Amino acid sequence: MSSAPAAKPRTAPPLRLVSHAGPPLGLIFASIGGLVAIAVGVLHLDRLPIALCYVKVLTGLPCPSCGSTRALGRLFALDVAGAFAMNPLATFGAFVLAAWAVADLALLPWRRALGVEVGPPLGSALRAAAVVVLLANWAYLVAAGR
Amino acid sequence: MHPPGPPQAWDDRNRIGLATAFVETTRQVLTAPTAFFRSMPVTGGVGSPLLYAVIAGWIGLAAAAFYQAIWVSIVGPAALPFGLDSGELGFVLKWMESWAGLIAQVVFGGVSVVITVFVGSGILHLMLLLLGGARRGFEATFRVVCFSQATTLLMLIPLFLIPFCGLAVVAWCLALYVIGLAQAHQIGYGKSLAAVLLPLVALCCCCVGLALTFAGAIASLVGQMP
Repeated sequence: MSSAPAAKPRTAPPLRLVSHAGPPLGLIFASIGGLVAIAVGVLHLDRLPIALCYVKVLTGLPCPSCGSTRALGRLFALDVAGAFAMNPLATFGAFVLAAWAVADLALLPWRRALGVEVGPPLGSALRAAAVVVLLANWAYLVAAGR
Repeated sequence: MHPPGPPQAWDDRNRIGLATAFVETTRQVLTAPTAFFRSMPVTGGVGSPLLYAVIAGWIGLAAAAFYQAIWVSIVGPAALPFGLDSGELGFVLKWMESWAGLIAQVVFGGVSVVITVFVGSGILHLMLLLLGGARRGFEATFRVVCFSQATTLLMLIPLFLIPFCGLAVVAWCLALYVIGLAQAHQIGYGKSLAAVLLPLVALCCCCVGLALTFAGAIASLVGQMP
C-alpha cells in the first residue's frame, strides 16, 4: 500500500514584494525628492559658501549624511559618477526610490502600491547590514573629506 | 492589538463638525497625549491625519510668516550670513522676508506641511526600523507625526517676544513624538526617545532632510520589520 508523500509545510519567503491597497508612498517620496532636486539645481544649494552642517563645524568631520545635497546637485546635472563620489549611500537610495516610484506608477491604475514583507529571520540580518552599510558610507565620507 | 476604542473626535468630524473636531483633537493632543495616542487607530488611510496636519501646520506657518513680516517691517531685514547675500539663494531669502514672500508662504504653506510630515515620518520610521521598534506599519508613525502638528498652532502666539519660547515649542513637539511612537508602536519610551533623538544627534540639519528623504522613503516601503 502506497501512501502519498506528506506535503511539506509551505514557508513564506524571507523577503517578498507585494502590492497592497495603501497610498503610493514611493511616488510621493520621489515627487518630494524631485522637488528638492529642482531646488538644489536652480538655487545652487550644493555650492553654498558656508558649511551648514553643525557636526562638521564642531568636529571638522562630516556627518553620515554630508555630501547628499552635493550628490543631488550632481544628479540634477546628470553626473551619476560625481553623485556616487559625493555620497554613495544617498545616491543609491535615490536610485532605489526612483525604481520604487516607477513600480508605484505602474500599479496606480489598479489603486495598488508596492510594499515589502520581511520575514523574522531576515529582519535582524537586514538591521545589522543597514548599520554596517551606514558606517561604511560614513567611513568613506570621512576618508574622502566630504 | 489595539483595542477598538471610542471614535476619536477627528474621525468623527462628519458628525460633530470640522471646527469642533479640530479644536477637540488639538486639546486632546496637547493636554492628554498619552491617552490620545493610545486610543489612536493606526490604520485607515493617510488622508484623514494628513488633513489635520495641513490645517494645523498651515495656520501655524501663516501666523509665523505674518509675525516675521511685521518684525522685518519694524527692524528691517536680517543680515544674511557671509556669502548668502548674493546669487539666486540670496535673492530668494530676501524675497521671502518681503510681503510678497509672506503671501507665497501662506499660499504654498500647505505643500510644505505635506512635505514636512512625509519626510519627518520617513526619518522616524527608518530609525524605528533600525532600532527594532517598528512594530506597526509606516502609517502608525505617519499618524503620530501628523497629530503632533498640533504644536505648530502655538505659533499663533508671537513667540519672538518671549525668549526661548520657540525652543520650548520644538521640545514639546519632540516630546509628543516620543509619547506617540511609544503608544502607536507599543514600544518602550527609551526606544522611541532614541528614534527621535538619533537623527538630531548624529546627523546635521542641512543634509538630514535630503539624505533621509530617500532613506526614510525606503524605510516606509518595508513598513514593519520583525
